[in-house]
Amino acid sequence: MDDAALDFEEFASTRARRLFHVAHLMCGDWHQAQDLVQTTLAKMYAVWPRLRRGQDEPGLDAYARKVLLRYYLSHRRLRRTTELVIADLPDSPSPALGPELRLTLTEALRRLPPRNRAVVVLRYLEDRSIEEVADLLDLSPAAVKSLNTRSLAKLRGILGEDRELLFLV
Amino acid sequence: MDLESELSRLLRQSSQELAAPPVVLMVAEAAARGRALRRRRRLAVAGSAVAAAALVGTVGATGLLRPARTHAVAGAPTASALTSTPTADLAAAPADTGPVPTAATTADGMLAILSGLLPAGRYSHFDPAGPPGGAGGGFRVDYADEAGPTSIAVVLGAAAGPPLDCAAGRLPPAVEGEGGWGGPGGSCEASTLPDGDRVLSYRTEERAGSLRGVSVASRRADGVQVVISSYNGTVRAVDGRLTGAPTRSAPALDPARLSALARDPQWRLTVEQELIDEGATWRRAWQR
Repeated sequence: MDDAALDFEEFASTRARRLFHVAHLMCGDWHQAQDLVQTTLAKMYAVWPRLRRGQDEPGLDAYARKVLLRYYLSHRRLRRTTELVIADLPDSPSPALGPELRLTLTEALRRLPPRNRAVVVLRYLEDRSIEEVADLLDLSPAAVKSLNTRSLAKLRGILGEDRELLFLV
Repeated sequence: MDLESELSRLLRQSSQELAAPPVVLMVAEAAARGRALRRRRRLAVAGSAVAAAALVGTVGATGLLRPARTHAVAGAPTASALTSTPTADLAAAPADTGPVPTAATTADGMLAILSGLLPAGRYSHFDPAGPPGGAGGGFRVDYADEAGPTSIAVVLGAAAGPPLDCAAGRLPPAVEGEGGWGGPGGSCEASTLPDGDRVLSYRTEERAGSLRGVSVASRRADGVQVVISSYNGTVRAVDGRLTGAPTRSAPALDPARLSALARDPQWRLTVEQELIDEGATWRRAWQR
């Protein structure tokens, strides 16, 4: 294996888990999240020597997220016309404690439009600033602020009274 | 308590509760797909360059099958440009320099090629079983798409023996056990394509609830022969015969898809050593 391949493997191995968490919160599906991350890393591998020459570590991390987001959002657009809603969530889900926390939050996130979901994940899982999120999503900071506000309002509505229970976990 | 102030903790906690992803496998798969992507871009660039040159009468058509190891892509964006305007449709690979080590294509190299040609899926039960008599190399592997696992077998070698012809009554050398597929009730078609490739397609008899297979043999004008078989279930060779159970009504890959796969110019008798290494690394990752 050459140096570039080893270098890529090191980068990918240390980032895959985090990217997977981002992907899973956005798509809500374990296997799809795995595919999102693999596709992202594959696309980076294809141009790795050039990326490595021109980017520092934060630049590579930002690049990985941009590719992931771009692929996720375009994938969602393609799927939207063929997806069937098999069940709708109640506005006030049952109390969420322990293992159910993940399901409740994941399902609440799934009720947001894909771009809103991406904003929430980048802002609150990744602790990205409004400006960073705007750069990653190719949006204006004002648009991100608006998406963020609307997303939080929607989440409050979805989680309803059970929000207090979530905070106790 | 306000949702915004607690959301970070909740999302982190939610992520921590997730089962750990198979990082080693994901990285190996990503590298395999990345290499395949890079190869396709190289072939595309080489094909475009040769086609352009052919227009002015300077290059023969045989060059279309030759992948370029060194090329320069005019107008390709720089890495710094990608920092501000990244795209999921990334630019072509950078130029490589220096001699590229090559070796006779092994089953691992063939696996790497196949995985680059098929959509993403899960692989298992790799069996590097070549055809009898040492006529090339081969393997069989289970490939799972959204509909579940089925077996795929590939044999690659130099063209030898009589021309591909349905009248011969059997397939050219295939993976162990597959010689027995040429039974009664099957259908066979053979044709010579405009570029000189000879393609033979054979389907076993269609019987409800039975194991079925489709095989396509391609003998290219450059002397490379590829036989690819797809089944409607997972199969194993036992005492020279195939056994297995159907998992779906039809083979995962139809004759047209198999023909396109078999005729792909990436099947070569010698390939880059890194491709073989990649196939071996990737295989070991999912065999753990």
